[in-house]
Amino acid sequence: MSPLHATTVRRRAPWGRTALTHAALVVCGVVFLIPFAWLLSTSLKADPQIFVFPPIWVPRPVLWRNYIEALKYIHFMTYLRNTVYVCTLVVLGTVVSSSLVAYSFSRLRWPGRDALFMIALATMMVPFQVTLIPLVILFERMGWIGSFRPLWVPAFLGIPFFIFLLRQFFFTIPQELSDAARIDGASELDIYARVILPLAKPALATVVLFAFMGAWNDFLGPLIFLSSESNYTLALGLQQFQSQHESQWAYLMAVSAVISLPLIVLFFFAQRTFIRGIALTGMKG
Amino acid sequence: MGAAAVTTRARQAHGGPVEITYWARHTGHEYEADLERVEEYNRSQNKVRVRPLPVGPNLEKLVTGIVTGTPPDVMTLGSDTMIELGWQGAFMPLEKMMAQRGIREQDYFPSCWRAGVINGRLYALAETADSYLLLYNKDAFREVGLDPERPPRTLAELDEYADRLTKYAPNGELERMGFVPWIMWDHSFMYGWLFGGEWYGTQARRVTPTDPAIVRSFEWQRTYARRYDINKIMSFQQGFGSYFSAMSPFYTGKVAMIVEGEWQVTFTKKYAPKLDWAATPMPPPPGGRLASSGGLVLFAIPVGSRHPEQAADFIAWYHTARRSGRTPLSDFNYAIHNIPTRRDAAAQERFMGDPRFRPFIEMFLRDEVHNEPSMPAVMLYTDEVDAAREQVIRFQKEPLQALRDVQAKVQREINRAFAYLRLPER
Amino acid sequence: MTTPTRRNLINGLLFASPFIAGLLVFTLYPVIASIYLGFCRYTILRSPQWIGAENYRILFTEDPLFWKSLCNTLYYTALALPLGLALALGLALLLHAGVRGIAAYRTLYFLPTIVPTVAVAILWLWVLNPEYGVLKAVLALVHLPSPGWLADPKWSKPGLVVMGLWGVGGTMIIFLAGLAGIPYQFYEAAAIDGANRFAQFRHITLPMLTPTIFFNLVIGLIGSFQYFTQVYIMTNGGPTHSTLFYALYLYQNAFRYLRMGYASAMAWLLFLIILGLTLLIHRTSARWVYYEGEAL
Repeated sequence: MSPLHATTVRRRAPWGRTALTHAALVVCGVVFLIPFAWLLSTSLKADPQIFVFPPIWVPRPVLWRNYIEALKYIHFMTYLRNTVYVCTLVVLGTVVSSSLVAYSFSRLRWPGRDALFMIALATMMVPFQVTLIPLVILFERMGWIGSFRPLWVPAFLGIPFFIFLLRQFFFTIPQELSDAARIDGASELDIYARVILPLAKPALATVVLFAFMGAWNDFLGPLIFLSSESNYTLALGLQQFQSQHESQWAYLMAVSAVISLPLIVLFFFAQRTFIRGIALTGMKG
Repeated sequence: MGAAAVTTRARQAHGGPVEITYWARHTGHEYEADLERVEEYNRSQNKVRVRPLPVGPNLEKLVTGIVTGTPPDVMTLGSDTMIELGWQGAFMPLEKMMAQRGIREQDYFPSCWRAGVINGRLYALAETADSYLLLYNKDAFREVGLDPERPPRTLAELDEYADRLTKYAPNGELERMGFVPWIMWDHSFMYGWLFGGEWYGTQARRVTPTDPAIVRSFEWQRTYARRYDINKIMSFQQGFGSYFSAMSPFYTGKVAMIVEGEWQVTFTKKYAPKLDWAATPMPPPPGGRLASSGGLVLFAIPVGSRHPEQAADFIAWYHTARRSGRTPLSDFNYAIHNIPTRRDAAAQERFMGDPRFRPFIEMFLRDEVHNEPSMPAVMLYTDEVDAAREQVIRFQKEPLQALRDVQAKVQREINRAFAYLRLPER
Repeated sequence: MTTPTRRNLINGLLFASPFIAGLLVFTLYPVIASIYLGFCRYTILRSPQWIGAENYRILFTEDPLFWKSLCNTLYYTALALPLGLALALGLALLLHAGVRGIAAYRTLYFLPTIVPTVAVAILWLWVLNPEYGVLKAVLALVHLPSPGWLADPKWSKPGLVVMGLWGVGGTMIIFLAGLAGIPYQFYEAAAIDGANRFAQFRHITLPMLTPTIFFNLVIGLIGSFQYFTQVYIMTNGGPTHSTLFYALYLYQNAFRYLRMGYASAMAWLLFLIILGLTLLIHRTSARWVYYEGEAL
């Protein structure tokens, strides 16, 4: 995962190989696309047209107004505002705290480091179902139930998944860079901020993306910790399209599609860092 | 939360209306109707303001609320959840509070009242009810030469009709099934009662799935698996999918007779307006009896509620308020296509006057609706019976053996549960 | 302790302090509580009652569903994990080839991970439908019969594996990030030395990718052992417990049957299993994981 020499190389491959690659990509692309295409198709249908055989791909009529009605049916703007609020804080906290801890686990050598890392890994292995109740009791004693705090404060204290991810990435940056900076008298914080982080852009972009996505689609957390509808998030709003004996599939799909849009946009920006990476000349040696 | 604290708060709130929180089981359309009734209540007086929250069937939310000591002041929840939580002592007893507000047992359908009773005391009050009947497709009847005004009256007739109504495509695949006992979900409990059996002995605290009548009901279910080839049925069944409700194969004519609930009266209007159908009680075998099962949603006041008196006010208002001949209870049930739990509400023209809806209510009038057994571990019992039925229809186990296994497992669990609860026998 | 070592220790702890704080404040109590609850009978709504190792005894000797759910989970992991990793890696390699429209493809493969789980569940109930699902149509094109998928106890888990493969976008992205970090000079040097594409893959790509593979392997293992949401929504463990995964059974015990003590015991057993496997992978990792940046 070394970032130092990462570039996109447009190597002129033989014509045949490009065609083959394209073919494979297209086939896979179609396979991946079909379910999503059905999602969009369903979102524009009238309910009775959804579960018929043979399946109807192009709805007749095309109900664009499904989108408007679905968004009006729930307090979309409120949920959106709340979700953006929580996600922003979560991303901020995750990036800062997880990178700091990952730095400790990979760029510094100290006794107990690897043991602590194993503990971090281990916390991911305990199913949430059984820690939920004690955790809720804990939050209740702190008076945080009903506020957004249980949703974003833990993000500022390091998330093991991202600590792990960044640790792996940081390991691939040569020690010589750190050593050189240390000889020059830089503090660890300097090295962290000025040497390591800039080199870690692809990984950081990945963290931003995944952290945002996780918080964006989180259902259980908001359900348990929030206690008023004005605080509800988008994921909870989706539940409003299902009742005891009936579900409004078209609306559910429409809102799911709309909810996915910001993530797609975010993904677009995040992935540009993957191929570019950082081209650094003269840094090595 | 002692009575003193409650009274103090009530006094403190003397200045303005007391705000109480209400966690609603209802979501989507039903929540809209729920909101309406809440708003109507808030408008009708200025002592109590209800603040609703749509919570759905999510168990985690309910238990975490109770365990942290921050439950809502009032809640609605499904009957099975209510039984499971109620046995653990989650709710406040309601008899006194309800009696003070003019709620009397005789105003309710017996099964609806009983649904809220745990170990002899009232802990919840049913707000809406369901019942299940046999729906049949009159057009299909005509097609095979059956009289559409004469539905099956005995189980044997049902089997016979099912045979005639089942249609195969030229390639041997199923095109239409006359009847499938286990769609759209497991109805084993209902068939058990239909055959004359009992699932639970309250006095003895014993589960009785090995009741010979119940065993016979399982054998009967299995005859369908045998006669029509279970693999074909399973494939056919997937064809109408398990889309967790709404899209019934009954609409498309894939199944000619089906066990379904009263909400279908409204849904068929929406999804299959041209379908000519009617409902009839599920016909019993000889030695059996008319029986229906039915879910309900109930009001309850959780232990730890900060304003139980105001919560009781809200509940009572829903059940008894009157304006221009209608009650909130009847309005709400009408809005979400369920059956009112009170006799006076159910007697209204808009319910009884609807020829399709009427048979569903009549089950309550004749007290033929059965509830899930009131016992701890009811969820386990339901799941185990469902699993047993699956095993039986796939010929993995004999009915008696499957039910014996259920008995062993669930009885063990109940014994432990009662030991843990250390309740006196009732 | 020498001064540099002491300084390192202080720095190490300082940088790790957010995590340590989180551990002490938010993790310690729930962990200890749930370990304790594993030795109790606890219905959440009443006080826990100490029963010693009774839960564990029941799990091992009286509960066939414990073994069934464990087997289901192992089966799924054995299928889904290697297939998922291979597919993710394959797609990443395809995308890394620098073709036109790469951004579009990448978004396409990542799309499934973005869609809310409820929508995914419904989509796949439709795709896997043995009567008129898309999968049946596709198989028919190549003259293959279509099994009953989620209706058939023998095919329900493979069906879920197929659905899981649709979601490899996340893993693929991480592989892409890893691939992006391999110096192209290595490939050029190898090409000059006469190495063909396969040799390049074997001797450059694969070794340089091992830190990423290690990450995806461990994360994938932890994830598939806790596979829950999809079966909760789609099958609820059926038919005939064929999709009763360990985490689902755990959830049912915790929140449906209110046997939280029993569920806690299940959770800690699962923890031990995952921990054991992860340690195994970690032990062997020294032999096959290659970190260019540091001699560990």
